[in-house]
Order: sequence, then C-alpha cells, then structure tokens
Amino acid sequence: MATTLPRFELRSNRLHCQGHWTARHLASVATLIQRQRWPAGAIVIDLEGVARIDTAGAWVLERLRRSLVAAHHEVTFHKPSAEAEKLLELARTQGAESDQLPHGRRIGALEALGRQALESLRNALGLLDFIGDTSLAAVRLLIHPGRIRWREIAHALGEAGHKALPIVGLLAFLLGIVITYQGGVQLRLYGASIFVADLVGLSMLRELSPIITAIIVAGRTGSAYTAQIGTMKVTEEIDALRSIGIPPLELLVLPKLAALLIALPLLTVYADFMGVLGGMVMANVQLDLSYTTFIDRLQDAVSVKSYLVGVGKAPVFAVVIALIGCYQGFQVSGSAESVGRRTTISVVQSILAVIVIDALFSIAFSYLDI
Amino acid sequence: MNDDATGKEHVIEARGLTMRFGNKTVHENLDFDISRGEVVAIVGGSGSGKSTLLREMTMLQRPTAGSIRLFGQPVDALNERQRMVLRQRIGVLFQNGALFGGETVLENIATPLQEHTRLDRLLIEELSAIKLRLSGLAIEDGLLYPNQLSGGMRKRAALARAMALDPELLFLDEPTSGLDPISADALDELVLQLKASLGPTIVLVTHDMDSLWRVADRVMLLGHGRLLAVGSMTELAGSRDPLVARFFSGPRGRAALAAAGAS
Repeated sequence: MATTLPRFELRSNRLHCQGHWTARHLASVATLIQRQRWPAGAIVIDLEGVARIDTAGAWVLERLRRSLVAAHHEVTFHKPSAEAEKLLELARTQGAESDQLPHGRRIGALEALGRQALESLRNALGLLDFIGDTSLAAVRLLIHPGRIRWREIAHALGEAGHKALPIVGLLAFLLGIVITYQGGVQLRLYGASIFVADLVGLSMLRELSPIITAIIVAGRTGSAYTAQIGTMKVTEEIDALRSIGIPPLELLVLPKLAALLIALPLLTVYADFMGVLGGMVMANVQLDLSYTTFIDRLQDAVSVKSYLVGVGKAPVFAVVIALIGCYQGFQVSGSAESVGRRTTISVVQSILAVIVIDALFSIAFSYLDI
Repeated sequence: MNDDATGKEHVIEARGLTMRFGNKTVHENLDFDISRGEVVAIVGGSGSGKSTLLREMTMLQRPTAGSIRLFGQPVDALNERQRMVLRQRIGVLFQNGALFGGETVLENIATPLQEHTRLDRLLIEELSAIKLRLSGLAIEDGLLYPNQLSGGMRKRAALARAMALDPELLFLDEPTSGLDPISADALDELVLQLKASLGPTIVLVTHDMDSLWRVADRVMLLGHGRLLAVGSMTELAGSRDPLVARFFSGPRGRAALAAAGAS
C-alpha cells in the first residue's frame, strides 16, 4: 500500500490538505502548520484531498482551528469525509492543549534529599522492627520446637549451601592462586619463598574466605530470598498464608535464617580449604615448593585461633544476609518492578553490611589482641 | 486483498490452523475469516484454547501448522521488520491489563506513540490525553501508577493504550473478567463507543454472556479442539446441537437471553 505523505498548502484563504493525515507520518506537518502565517478573515480548511485520517490528524486540525478561532478567524472545515467528521468531533469534545493538562509536580533537589533521608530512616526503623519480630518468632519456635519446619530448612540448606559449592570453591581456589602468584614473586626476591604459606594461609583463613563467601552468598542467596518473598507478596501469597493461619515469618524467614546459619560457616571452611589448595598448587608450580614443605610450614604459621576467627565471623554474616534479604522481600509493594528494585537494594545493602561488619571485627580483634 | 463473494475485505483469514503442545492438541484444522468492521467473539469453556488462538492471531505464538493472513498478508512469510509494521495496525488488551508498572497511565498510553511516530512530546501528550478521556478516565487519573488503579480503571487504561495508534484491528482478552456487573456493562458500552468513533475490527475472547449479546456481531464457539459453531448470538442460542445448546442454554445463558430480550 503506497502511502502519500500529508501535505497542506494555503491559497488565499483556503488551506488545502492532502494525503494521509495519520500519526505515523504527521510529525513534520504538525510543526509546519503551527508556523504558518494566516491572512485576515475567514479561513476554510479543505479536507477533500485527505485520503486517510486518524485521531492524531484530526487533533492537529482541531488544535489549528482552536488557535485560529482564538486569533479571531472564522474557521470552517470543507468536505470532510464521514470518517474525518467523526474524528474531528471526537477531537473537539475530548481534546485539550497540553498546557491545560495536569502535570505531575516536579520535585526539587532539596525536597528529594529530604525524602531520601526520611526514606532511609523509615527503612532503618523498619529493619529494626523486622529484627524484633523475627527474634520473637524464633523464641516462640524454640519454646514449641515441634513447629520447627525441618523440611523447609533442609530445602533452604540445599539451595544456599550445597548448590553454592562449585562457585565458592572455584573462586576461593583462584584467589589462592592469585595471592601466591603475586606474593611469591616478591618473597622469592628475598629468598623467602617458604613464607608464601604464611601469606596464603593467614590471609585466606582470617579475612578473604569469610568475606568472599559472604559476598557470593549475599549475591546469590540474599537476592533469591528477596525475590521469592517479594513475588509472593505481589501475588498475595503472603496474605493467603496469613489467612490460612501460617505465620509467614515462621514459614519463610526462620527456616532461611537457620539454613544460612548452618551453610555459611560450612561454606567458609570449604573456601578456606580450596583457597589454601590453590596456593599450594601455585607454590609448587611457580616456586618449586613441595606439598609436604608447604603443609609443614602451614602448620607452624597458622594457628587454630586464626581459623576460628575467620569461621566465627560467618554466622554473623549469615544473620545479616538472611535478615536483609527477607526484610527487603517484605518491603515489596504493588508491581513486579518493585521486586527488581528491592532485590537490587537487598544485594547492595547486604554486601555493604558484610564489609562494614568485617572492618568492625578487625578493629575489635586488634583491640583485643587476637 | 482477499475478498469473498460478499465483497467484504477479510482482516483475518485462518486456514488449517493447528496448535499442539507436546502431544496435547489445543485445536486442529480451524478455518475462519473475520471481515473488516466486524465484532467477533470467541467463546468456549476453560482450556478450550481461546487465549492460545488469540496469541496466534496477535503474532505472539506460532501455530504448529496452518496459516494466518492478517490484512491479506501471510504472517509466516513476513520478516521481523514487516511484522513490526503489521503490529502497529493491531491493538491488544491483555487480560490483566499488562500496564507497565513503572510508568503512569498517561506514559503507558504514550509509549506506542513515542516508539512508532516522530511526533513531538506535547502532541503525544495531548493525543494520549484524548485516548485517556475516550476510555472514560478522568485526566487526573493519567498521573496515577497502575497499582493505584481499580480493576475497572486498569482495563480502561489498558484499552486506551491498545487504541493509542488507532489500530484497525483490536483484540480484547476477556475485557469484562474480574469486573463488577456495573463496570462490566460500562466496559461493554465503552467498546461499542470506541467501535463507533474509531471503527476498528474487534476480536474478543469472553465468558460473559451479557457481553456476547451486547457487543458481538458474530460468535465462534470453540470446543473439543475445533469450531463447534459460528453465527450470531440469536442463531447460536436457538441451536439444536447439544454441545452448542449446553453452552448457551445454561442458567447464565438463559438469564442473559432474557436480559437481551427485555432491553
């Protein structure tokens, strides 16, 4: 179907319109027609040559008529088709210029800052509230241990723990390799290659494997918690649970919290092992340290205390990740878009919290001389 | 284009349309035509494949076999670009509205205009406002987000978006489902009004007997994977075919018939 572009031409007091006055082709005509200069007196808009017209075309013409009438012209439409007549009528009754349409109020920078501050405060208070609720629910559950949902815990444990093994293992292994490689080069300069065991052992066990495991778990499990609970909120499943008489905290939050409390320390131990293994392999390849030498040195360098300090942080991280993930899930409201936004917030907040808490641990340990 | 003996242009032509999921046949060998300007209703029990058929006609799903021609063009043979052009001539009202949650109602209506025309921002805003008012919503409602709307308002807003580009062919998936009787009546009224002012061909899927009597020129009854009957409501309601009669002469069908007779 060949389309003919819309055109108009002013001859004396007659505006001849031609072609297809439809939304797809109207852009330039709509602008040009507003720039047109008009002779005094009555104007006739001749629509005889208009092959097709839609609401957009009709509104452009109606808008023109209004502006001409406002400038004291008399305006008539000449020979509109039956279709055009209907659409012009529609534009006349339903159309309004944009300056008469209501617009959303613009928010200034200061107001935005204020709103954001209030939002953060509300968020913090909400989280506090949520921690309180969850604690109470946990206490209730400990009083009636028969209501503990073992099946949910086992399922969450599989999701958060077992399925995270490959990625956590791979990352820790690579991290061990990188540390050994970077450190080994320096240590060899001083003929102190053997101390690479100290380097890998201490840095992995005390700092890196707890934090890297927590960050991975925050990214893959914390986000999943938010998305799951959030989606259930959107589809009213949370309300359904309440109305059936199942407390959502008991079914959705506590099993996840318990599972993560078990899974994260175990994953951390696994990451310790894989990280040191990576270092050991790299030391063997690059520095010609045999495995037995490496392990001997490791036993001297790394005390049980360093190991416990690292693994001891994991339950704290687990609680933080599970609580933030679940809390943000419950904060979802309305639409699917909100699920996405809350999931992002949950991951960012829990990673941030993990790093801040790790820093606090470091300070505390140095005061306590551990 | 493909005209039949009556000289009417066919907007949709389906030939040998078959849809299977795995070894479950949804429908088999459907043949039907829909002419320009008609209001055709597709009815059938739950699971009879009404929505699947709608998805095939709106190019959202490929049939397993058979062909569909839209505006005379064979949909299978078109490339993605040509389909895009075709899609602009089609409007779809989804069952739950499917409004974009991150945009206001007015922005939702403006989306097709922004994507497919080069009109300036003010003009798009004004055109969206026309469609908004045409769908029976107040201008102020245009600033609301979809989750702030009631069910009836959401359907109206979605209808306004479907009508944004003045489509020649409008698909409505259960337009009155989930609405109270008053809102449902009002929505039927709105569909008739849109029909009168913008003149699209309308294909609707519905369960609503009252809707069928009020808006449909022709009804296609789907069941057992085939078209059980095609005809006007009066014809179908008088049918002696037990399968057809069961659908239209249940208590709801009779009540709707009585209501249609009374008005």
